[in-house]
Amino acid sequence: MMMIRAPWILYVAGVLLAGSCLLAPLALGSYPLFVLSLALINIIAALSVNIVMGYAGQISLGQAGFAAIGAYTTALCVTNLEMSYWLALPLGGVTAGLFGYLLGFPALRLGSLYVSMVTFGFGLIVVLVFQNWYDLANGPNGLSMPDPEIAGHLVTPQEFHVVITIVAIVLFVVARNIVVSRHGRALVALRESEFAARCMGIDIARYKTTAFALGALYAGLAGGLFAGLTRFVNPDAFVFQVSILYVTMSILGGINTIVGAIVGGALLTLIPELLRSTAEYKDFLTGLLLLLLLMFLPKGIVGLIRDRFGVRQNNPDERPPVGELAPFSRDTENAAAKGPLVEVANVGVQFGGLKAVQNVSLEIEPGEIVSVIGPNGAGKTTLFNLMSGIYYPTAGTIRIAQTDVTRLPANKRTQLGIARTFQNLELFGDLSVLDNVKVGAHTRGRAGFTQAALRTRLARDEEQDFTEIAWMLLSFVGLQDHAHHRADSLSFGHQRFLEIARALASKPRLLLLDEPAAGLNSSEIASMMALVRRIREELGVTVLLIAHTMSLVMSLSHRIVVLDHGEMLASGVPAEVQNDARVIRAYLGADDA
Amino acid sequence: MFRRYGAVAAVLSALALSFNSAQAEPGVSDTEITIGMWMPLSGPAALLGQSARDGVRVWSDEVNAKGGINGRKIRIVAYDDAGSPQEANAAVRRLINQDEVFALLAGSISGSTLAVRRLITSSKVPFISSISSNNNLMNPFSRYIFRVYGNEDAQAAGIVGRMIDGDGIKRPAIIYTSNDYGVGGFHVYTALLKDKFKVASVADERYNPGDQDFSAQLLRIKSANPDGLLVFAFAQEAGIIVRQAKELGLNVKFYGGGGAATSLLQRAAGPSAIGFKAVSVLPQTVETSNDPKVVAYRDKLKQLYPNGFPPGRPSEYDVAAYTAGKIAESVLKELGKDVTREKFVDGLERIKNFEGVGTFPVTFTPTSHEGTNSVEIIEVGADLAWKAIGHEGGK
Amino acid sequence: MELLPQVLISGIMVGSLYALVGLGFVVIYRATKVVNFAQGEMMMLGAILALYFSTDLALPYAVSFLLAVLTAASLGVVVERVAYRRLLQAPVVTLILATVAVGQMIRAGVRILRGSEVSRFPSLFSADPFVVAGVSVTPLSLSIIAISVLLVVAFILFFRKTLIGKGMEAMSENRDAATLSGISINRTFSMIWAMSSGLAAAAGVLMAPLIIITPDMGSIGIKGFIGAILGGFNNIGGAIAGCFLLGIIESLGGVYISSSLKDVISFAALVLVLSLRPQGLFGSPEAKRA
Repeated sequence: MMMIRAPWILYVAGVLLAGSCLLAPLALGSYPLFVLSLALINIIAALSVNIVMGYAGQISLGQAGFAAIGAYTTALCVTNLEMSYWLALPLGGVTAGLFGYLLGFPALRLGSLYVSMVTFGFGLIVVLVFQNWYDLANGPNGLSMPDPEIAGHLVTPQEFHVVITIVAIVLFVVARNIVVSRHGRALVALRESEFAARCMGIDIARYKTTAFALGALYAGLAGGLFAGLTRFVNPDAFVFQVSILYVTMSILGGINTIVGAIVGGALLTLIPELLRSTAEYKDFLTGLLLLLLLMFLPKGIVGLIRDRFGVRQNNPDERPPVGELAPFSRDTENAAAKGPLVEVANVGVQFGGLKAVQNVSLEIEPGEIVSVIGPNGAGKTTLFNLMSGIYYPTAGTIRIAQTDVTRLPANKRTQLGIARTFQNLELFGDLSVLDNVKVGAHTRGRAGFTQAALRTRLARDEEQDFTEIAWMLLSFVGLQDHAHHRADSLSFGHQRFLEIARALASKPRLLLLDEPAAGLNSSEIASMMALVRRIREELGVTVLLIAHTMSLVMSLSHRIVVLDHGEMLASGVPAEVQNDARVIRAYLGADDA
Repeated sequence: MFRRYGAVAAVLSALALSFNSAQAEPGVSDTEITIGMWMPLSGPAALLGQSARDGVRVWSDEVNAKGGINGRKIRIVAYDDAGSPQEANAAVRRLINQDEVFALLAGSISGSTLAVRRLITSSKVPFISSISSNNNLMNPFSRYIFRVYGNEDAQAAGIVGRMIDGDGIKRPAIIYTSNDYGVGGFHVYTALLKDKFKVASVADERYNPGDQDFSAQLLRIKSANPDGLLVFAFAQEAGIIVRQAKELGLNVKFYGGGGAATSLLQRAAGPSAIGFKAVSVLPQTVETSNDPKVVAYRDKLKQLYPNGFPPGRPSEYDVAAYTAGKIAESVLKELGKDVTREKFVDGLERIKNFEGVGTFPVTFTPTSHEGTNSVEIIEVGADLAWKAIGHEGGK
Repeated sequence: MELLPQVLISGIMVGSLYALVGLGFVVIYRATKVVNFAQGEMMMLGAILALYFSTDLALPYAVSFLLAVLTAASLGVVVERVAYRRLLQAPVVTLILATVAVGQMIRAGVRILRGSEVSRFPSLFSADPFVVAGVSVTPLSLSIIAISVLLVVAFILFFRKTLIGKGMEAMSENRDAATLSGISINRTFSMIWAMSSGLAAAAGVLMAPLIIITPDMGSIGIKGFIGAILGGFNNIGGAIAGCFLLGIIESLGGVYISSSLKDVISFAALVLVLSLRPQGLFGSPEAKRA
């Protein structure tokens, strides 16, 4: 089993913590128990921030608004519809989740600043609506809720604490399961580089809205539990400062790790209780704490401990038995019978008045290695962006394996077997090398969010499969010794190789390499050339590459395409292109390569 | 991980250790009676909380300087709730369950008091409220909750009576803040106009707490052409409203609830405030009153603030909290050595025409825990100071 | 009374307040891509400083005004040096949260020092209304409208005509390229924070006679930002037009739809505009990846 495995000490600590929370009613008086219940609720709220901001990287300044929706829905269903609390609580969570899903939509088109405004406004509006909604929500006077019942028995605070603990444990485990699944990696990928994430086949829109929905669900459940704990909800309990408190909790513990939510939620519930009598300076100190955290402890307490003591989720000694990679396709055999893999016909695109690419036509046979060369600004990377779906052409068509993909978004093209690397590296720096490759395998997963959350058989098998292929690819490109390092800690050359391993993880038929040799030293260039050959020969993948290094281009390519000023200047086997007078004039003569 | 768990456990066990239940009656020993308070000491409503805290502190210092009540000194435990219901919940649980206070005094702003109403009632802890004037605090009736001054009903009834009966307003309008206070006032206003005065309100406008621009509401009101406007809002917002109304050419008579009856109104409104009539829960204004008892209170408060009072102080919440303490003192004195919460409540229910400090006489009965429904009508004079112009209501 | 003209006038009035504070937001945002959630608090602080200089120290109006602007500008530089500069490399989210924290500290700090004191600030212009064509206006509000328009024009000229202004523009277009062409990022950023903090203080002093000075006065700040987004950030004139438009929308919505849901209406307008035209009503689309 190749799952990410936390050291056993974390498991033991987690079980002890969960157990002591469950048994706390036996030992604690009613006030400390209440504080503990509150801490658990705040932990759930902090988790919601971690999901939205820490993992998906979407700023939300309105999580308290979702908590309000959860709390009010719960309280209203119980008081007005005489619904059981146990039904109303999940309903509140789901309603909040629905609002989160809807709020995710503006976030799709907008930068993080606008998202921060939209979420801020949302939080404000929710409070205003409940404050002005007299008929239903009793306006500012708030709603009193009867005690929750189980089979006619009124639940005591002690029993309710056990309920809160169980919900918190379940939500924590679910969050943890999602975080270590392909969906969790997709969220981090989204945060680290939206551009690259799209090219890995990740549906940005779906993940952003899902992250908002999931975060809102958690916040909503926290709100519903708060309603159950205090049996009273009013708008004052969910003002902007509460949203900021949740964010501060999350950052204090460590926003990029779900364990951080436990630390932050617990500390920021307990500390103010201990300091309750020194009140005048509290607001000021909370602001100061947040600022100092951002400046000196951006990864939070858990992040600090990890960095200091090297406690990592991954076990560095973990090494799977590496098998042989099977070829991804048989494109290298009997190519002619299959027809062209890529047909780019009269493609053009313009930005404003600038024609970046015009009237380019290109066919690539299965199993070929084709190079695109040309001076800077010739439109090479633009052509790649057109082929991988980052831009849509303003003229012409693009067909991959006889399918018209001209208007297909980037993430769908990955599923058709296109993968790419980037001229300016676009690795997911915060993820491990191994996880970067696993993100590349994203489109091959079938297990949905629910299955990941529950860690079903399918989800586990798939994860194991991803891990195995990731290890195989890492040894294929020679990075197996770095599997557990952070991607951004690799040398520049290694990062180029990692990008290729990541692109291969989707088992593509066509690999687009954007300047794979740029910035490499001569021995690295040699291994890069060998790697490209092996990609074709051992994996059966067709390669289209952009390069400036002529030795590499000439020795690798079956054919060469020359672009200049967005137009195709020449195309043919290396020898032809080398002797083409126009090419020599426009390119070879002019360029330092 | 262990480290963290250890810290949590240490804190929790520390909290648990201080939990002791050996005493016969919580909060009462042979030498001491513990009184609990929670209130906003930080945040926008801090003025109210600090006033209440000081009022009770002045009272307890006074009692303890005389050697306590029947040999028992008063110990005050006070926590900040920042005006947040969530924090109020934690604070009151701590007071009741961990500090085991005998009784609660003053309380917090309405939102944070309503949030713990049920907790207080089910824990059977006596509570004398001197901040919240929200009607719902007494609704449904709780044996354990008392209030020393006129609630929103009394305040709104007083000022609406003055408006319609006293000043003969024919076309009244109201603007109120969308919080429990404003809405409470609005309901009484509507009910009184309909049932008692048979006059229609020409405009009902609402705004949200914290708003700084009221022109939309005022324009709607202006187009309804009223001759008197009731501003049921807190003083600083009421001040802006009055000023903006004048700027928009809305020249009518202005009236306000108890929330507007502080000097903050004139600070915010300037000369526009002249002629503003408001209702006060006290028969005099605390900052300027010549009542010897109020003067004495101000002198004692000066010891806490040798460099001068903070802005807006002393306020009505000072003397109301102080009076709440005085009432508790008189009942405790009467009970002698045998002090229990139940007997204390019984004692409170025998309080009749209690002359507090700067407040109207307070009377509690087993069926009514509203100490008074008397209010004073006050008006801003040409010198921009409040002056009393007559009582309304009365029990 | 003519209702509609009066509604429009008071919308423009409110809009001019939003524009005053919105301008500072735009200056910061264009250069640093940061939503400064502390802008409103800086404005409040400016008003309080001016109040302190003019009442406690009995300095003349103009001197108090100037001192308040200078003090706030220096404070802006200090905060930038001490806090924000360390976060330049951090994700934008971090910087935004830092401004939220700074805003909370200013608000709480003022409350600690001044309690919940409410003050009015004297104005150079009269607040007594006069009636023109059935519409009631005050010299004070007319002066504010005029000043905000003047300030906007001044800033547009500053960015177009002066060397420093052009440098800041370059910085907002492309930080790396600007550095390469010899513009010091640190100095420019200090200058930008100084400018926007000073601007906030000026806005605070100017609008203090219209609203009142309390620790919570800064909450109006965020409206300036919403207005600027509505109008579009990449065009100062457009952003300011957005602020006026927001004032008008609020007034119209408040009078003709529901006065208590005024803020809801303005946020709904924001979300609507952003969904249809992310670059804002008057902004031109930024070049971006499809």
